[in-house]
Amino acid sequence: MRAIEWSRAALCVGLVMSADVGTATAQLRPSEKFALIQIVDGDTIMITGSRPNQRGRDIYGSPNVPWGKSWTPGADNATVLRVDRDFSISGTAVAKGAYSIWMTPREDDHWTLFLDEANLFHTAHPDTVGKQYVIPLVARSVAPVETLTWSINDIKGWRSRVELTWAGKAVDFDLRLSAGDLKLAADAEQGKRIAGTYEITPDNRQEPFMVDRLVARYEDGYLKWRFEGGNAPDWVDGTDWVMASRGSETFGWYMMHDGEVVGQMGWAVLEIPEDGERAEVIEIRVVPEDKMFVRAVRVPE
Amino acid sequence: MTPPSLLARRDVLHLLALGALGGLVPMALPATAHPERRRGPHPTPRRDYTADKVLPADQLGGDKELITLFDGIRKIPQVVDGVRCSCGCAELPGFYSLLSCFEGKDAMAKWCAICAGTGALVIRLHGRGRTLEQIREAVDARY
Repeated sequence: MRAIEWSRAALCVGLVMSADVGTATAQLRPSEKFALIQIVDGDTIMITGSRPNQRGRDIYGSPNVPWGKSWTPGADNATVLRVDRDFSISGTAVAKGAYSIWMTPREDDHWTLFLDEANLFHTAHPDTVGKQYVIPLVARSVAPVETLTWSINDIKGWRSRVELTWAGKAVDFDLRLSAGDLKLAADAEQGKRIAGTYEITPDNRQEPFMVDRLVARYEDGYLKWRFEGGNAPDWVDGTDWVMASRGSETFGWYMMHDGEVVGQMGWAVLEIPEDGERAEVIEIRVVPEDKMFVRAVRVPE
Repeated sequence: MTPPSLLARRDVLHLLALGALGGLVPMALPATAHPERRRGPHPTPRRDYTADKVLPADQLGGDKELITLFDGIRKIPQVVDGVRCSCGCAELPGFYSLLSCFEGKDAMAKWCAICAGTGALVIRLHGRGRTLEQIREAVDARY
């Protein structure tokens, strides 16, 4: 083929590809695609799929979504849940990865959630003998929502609530990321070694931690502590924190609320040297610079 | 509806973008948010390796903190050479250990807070009599 013919062929291919893009750009879908992304503790929870509209149809208990039959809450390809860390749903442990989401709706509101390892087309229902996670759900009646909607709410620490709402029904489930190798609970021996009152002198503290004392206690299986005295903002003075071991002498600094970890002060660690039967010093050191922020020395009893 | 075998090019581009986004988002977070991500095996200290290549004090622009830091590193090369730096430089060619971060005129520890902070931690814990294993544990707990 001569060079000019190759050029014309290339031009035709280019025009065809442009036409394909042009067609896709102009195409409105009855069920538009979506991606819902939530970051929790640095890891991604992502739900992707399509969002059908009710369009005046009967949904549940109709041929569209029959009672007692598995259905992917979406359209076209199965809706997919991807989580980048091991997690649990309503207490059922699930390995990290991507799963197609299926549900079996029932008239008595006792639905079932299936997570299947395969990404399937919406009419290719999952093989029940394949590897799946099966979790019971309870649906409830709500004000009608036209477009099928997924949401991730009530994010506290590693816990979140995933909710599906569509056509007058809603279901939700608790999704909790694994805490990994974090040792939030402390043993009694460690609690006994560290618990006590520690004094902070003026030259061993910095704004906003203008506090006089650090009081550590072993309670409910956790090493809890708080700052006291001095002149510090409310969020510093009197707030209960938890220290979680990351090694023999290094502890992470966490916030707890209602028995759940809800946050971490990732910019610092507590360093508690193991130089004797009882801890004598607690230092709060900034990461990554390793500069001392607060130094507290045990007050003899 | 579109059968799965005939995805339009725009759909493929969308999926690629979503995949890229899913991969990029965790990288946007600081290392301290998820320390185990950057952690790799600590190197074995090189036999008879010295501090000869550690940047001398007169090339640190008079910065007292840096001078103290580099002087401290210079005294314990065999310890520093047994620690991995978690800032990402461990993946670069020519970098063997945390000691590499303090070597040469472009020593990364001059401006990288993780290289410098890790170095300061190693010096401090060594001064308190901690073993290399204990120092490595403390590094892993932070970075």
